[in-house]
Amino acid sequence: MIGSSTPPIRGIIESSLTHWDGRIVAVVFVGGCNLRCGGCPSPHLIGDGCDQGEIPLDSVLDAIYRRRRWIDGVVIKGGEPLLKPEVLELLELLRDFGLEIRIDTNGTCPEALSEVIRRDLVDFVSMEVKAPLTGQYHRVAGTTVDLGAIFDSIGILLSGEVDYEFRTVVYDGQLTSDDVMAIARTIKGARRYVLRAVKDKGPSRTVLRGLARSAGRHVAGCHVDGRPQDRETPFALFADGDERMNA
Amino acid sequence: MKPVPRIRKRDGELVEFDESRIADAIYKAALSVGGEDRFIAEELAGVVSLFLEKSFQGVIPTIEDVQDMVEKVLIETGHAGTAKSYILYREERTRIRDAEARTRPPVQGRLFDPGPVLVLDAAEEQVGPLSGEVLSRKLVAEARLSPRTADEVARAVEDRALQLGLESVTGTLLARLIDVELISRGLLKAVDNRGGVLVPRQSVERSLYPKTHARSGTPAERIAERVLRQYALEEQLPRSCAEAHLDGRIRVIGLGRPSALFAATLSADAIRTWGIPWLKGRFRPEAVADPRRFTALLGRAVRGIAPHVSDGLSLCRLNMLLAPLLAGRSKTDLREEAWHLLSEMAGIPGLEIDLGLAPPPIFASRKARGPDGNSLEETYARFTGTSLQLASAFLEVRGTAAGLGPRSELPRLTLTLGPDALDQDEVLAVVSRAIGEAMAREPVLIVFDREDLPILGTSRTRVRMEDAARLTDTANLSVAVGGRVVINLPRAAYRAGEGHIGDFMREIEAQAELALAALAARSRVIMRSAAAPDGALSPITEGRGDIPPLLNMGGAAWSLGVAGLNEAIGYLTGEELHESDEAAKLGVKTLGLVRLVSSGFARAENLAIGLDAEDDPAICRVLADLDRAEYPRLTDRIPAAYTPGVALRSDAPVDLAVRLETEGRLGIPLRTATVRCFLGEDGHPAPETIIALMWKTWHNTRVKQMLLGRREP
Repeated sequence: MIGSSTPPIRGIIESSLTHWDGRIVAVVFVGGCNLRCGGCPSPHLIGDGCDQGEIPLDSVLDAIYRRRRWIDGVVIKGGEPLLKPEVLELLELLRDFGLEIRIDTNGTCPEALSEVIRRDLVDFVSMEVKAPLTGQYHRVAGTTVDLGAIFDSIGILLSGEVDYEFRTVVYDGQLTSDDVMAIARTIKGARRYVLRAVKDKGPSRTVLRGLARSAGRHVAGCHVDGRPQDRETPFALFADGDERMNA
Repeated sequence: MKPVPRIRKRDGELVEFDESRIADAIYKAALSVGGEDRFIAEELAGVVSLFLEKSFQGVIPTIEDVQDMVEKVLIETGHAGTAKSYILYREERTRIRDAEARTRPPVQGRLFDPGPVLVLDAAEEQVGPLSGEVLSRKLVAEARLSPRTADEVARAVEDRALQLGLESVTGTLLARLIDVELISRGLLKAVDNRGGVLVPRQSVERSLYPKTHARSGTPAERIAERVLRQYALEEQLPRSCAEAHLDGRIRVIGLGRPSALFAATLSADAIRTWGIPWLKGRFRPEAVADPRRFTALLGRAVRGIAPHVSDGLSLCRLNMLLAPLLAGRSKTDLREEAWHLLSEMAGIPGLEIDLGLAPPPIFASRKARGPDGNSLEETYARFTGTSLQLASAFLEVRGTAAGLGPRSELPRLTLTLGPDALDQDEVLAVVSRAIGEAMAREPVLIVFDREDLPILGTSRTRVRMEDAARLTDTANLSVAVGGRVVINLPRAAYRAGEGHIGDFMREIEAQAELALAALAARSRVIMRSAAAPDGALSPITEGRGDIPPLLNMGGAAWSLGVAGLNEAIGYLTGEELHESDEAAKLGVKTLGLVRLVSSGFARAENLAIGLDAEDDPAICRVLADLDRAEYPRLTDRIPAAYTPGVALRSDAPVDLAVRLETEGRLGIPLRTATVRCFLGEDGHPAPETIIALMWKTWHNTRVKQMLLGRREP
């Protein structure tokens, strides 16, 4: 058995077209999270107990290997994947496949983030900034958060050693446009900031676009994502790739 | 043997047969030549009676028949003198009757010449007396009876009508009387030869007053299709094939339009070069050098062909062939031209516009045809920029459909990608636009044109142009696919039984042979229709003077369809195609066998037959319905509709990579198969991700076509 000290893997999407723009990827879900966000899309991944059904690493690697001609990379999601030091071994194994790796993190583990970047185990980091870095952050995260760690992670990414994006999930009644502006000021100068609305619980796409336009004063590439676009012409969306609001 | 009960007089009246009157006539003739033995006359009358009974079983003889028989008996029994006297007496009577008839005033107040029974022939819109002579001639022609038997049957029918006391009969009733007469004489072959198509009144009324909106076409078209379908099944197909069609082992497509082609592809350059063959007068290409005029002419040609094609019609590489007419135009102009063309072609059922992106070099290196129809020094490659912009304009205008009415009435657009298309930025811009359309509105078909020689056809059947010599002229890029017969693969599995793979293969072979025999029969009908002067297809399959035909039937292709591979393998092995590699391998083996049988047949019959996936949901549903009817015990296991062609079940729990690899592998023996990729389940993939998927599909598989969309329509 390989990877005896790898993090608990709770799920896999063998090939996905929606988790990393421009790439077909496998998505690996790692169990365990240090936050308790109200609208968590994967509450089953919060705990890290063995009773929660772990997928053997061999199966995960086998599924990825069988699709090696199709997938460009692997996205590691959680939970919070950087919470467990064993994730490094998983990343090393995946690197051996010659695949690009993206990690989706909540930014609470800056040391682990630095380490994976330093060891060149990741090609892209997507960090969620859940709220302005004030007391509001604790409410949105459902627990007390070390805001210093969040600042540090933002700083690590802004240093540009690895490709990255910041993202914020917008729920109705939870974040105002001032909040989004506050986040944008915190990550000022970032290459890419993605605003996403939760299906059926978030603001309309028009509202989201307005938020993105405002945030665009601080962030160069501000994107809107994650909402069906039935009523819009496809060409505005796709003629130049994604919908993009420049500052 | 029954004695002759009655005879018919010259005026049609029936009278009892009276042997003593025969004896009287013979005796009178004998007296005139010196005879005096009444007993001999009575004996001879008995012989006449006996001969009449033998010769006219079940048929009423006329006076003339009786008199002919008297003459014959007198001569053959050695009473030549009496016979002579009798004959002279007959001739005298005939002369007197004729003289009386000439002097008799015409009968007033009768519309028709005297006939005992009127025939109301609604089909021919005629009314007239029932004539044994006419009936006899028809029986010789239609039922292929000998003239003598035909006479007898005609007379019997006439008598039957008289006996029934009918004053008039409808054409339908007369046809039934004839059939009854033929059947009572054991002449079943003659009944078969007469054939005929009967449409029950209820069916006609259902066509006139349909209860649902789902019935397509006009009542006239529906009734005509019904009649023609019946005719095709009873008269055109071998009996075994008709039975197999009816019980669901095979499905012959287009029976309601037996002379229509299954599919056709037209080259716009053919119209630009030669005009429309069925229009009289000399064609002057320069008169339609203006794109708008040419669009109108092309529309006229397509509308002329469309009624002769039952499944689909396409305009091949239209953006490429129109590019020389539109070189240098602005994007706004190109959108305007695309709008006009789509508007001109709106409402033509099954029409597809094939947009060629980066076509194979042999295609692109042809000399372009200029606005006046003549070849230019420049090749089509020189007009690539305009060609791509025009493709983009088509996608944009059809997407918004502003001012064009319902999008469902507009021609479908398909993108045919040549080698390296996905490595060219300018092509990718067009592909991105198509992806945007696919994800926002309607699925878009992407065709992978992988070889040096281009493929032509519609989304449901494509043919590779093997004849490179024809490619010297882009006006030759027209193809006809004559017909399609589908093999119901699950039926072979049910017939064989679970686990009986050897029996399954034998059943597959038998069904393939039936389907091929049906296809050959269809080809004979189509080719006859194409070759007949003024035949249904002749306007598009005949040339005029130096003008070649629009469609060259000599190079026609034929399509053998397959449906429900997933259910066939699932029933046989207990595992569907996506559930094990063994199941998929058996699928490949099955298709390989069908292809093998088909290739041998194609060589023997000299027909270009290819294997295509049948993906029409209506046909997949009909086949499942027929199987449920045939195997009620399997009702729970047979789905509402079979999985199209060789595809995996649409909700099979496999990711896209596995689907593309498996379906690509299964599609290798086929000429046409489409992998359906619906990408909107888990969000909205970025266009560049979808392009990456297309690139990998091209390089990792032999997939022929991808239907890209957000969700299943």
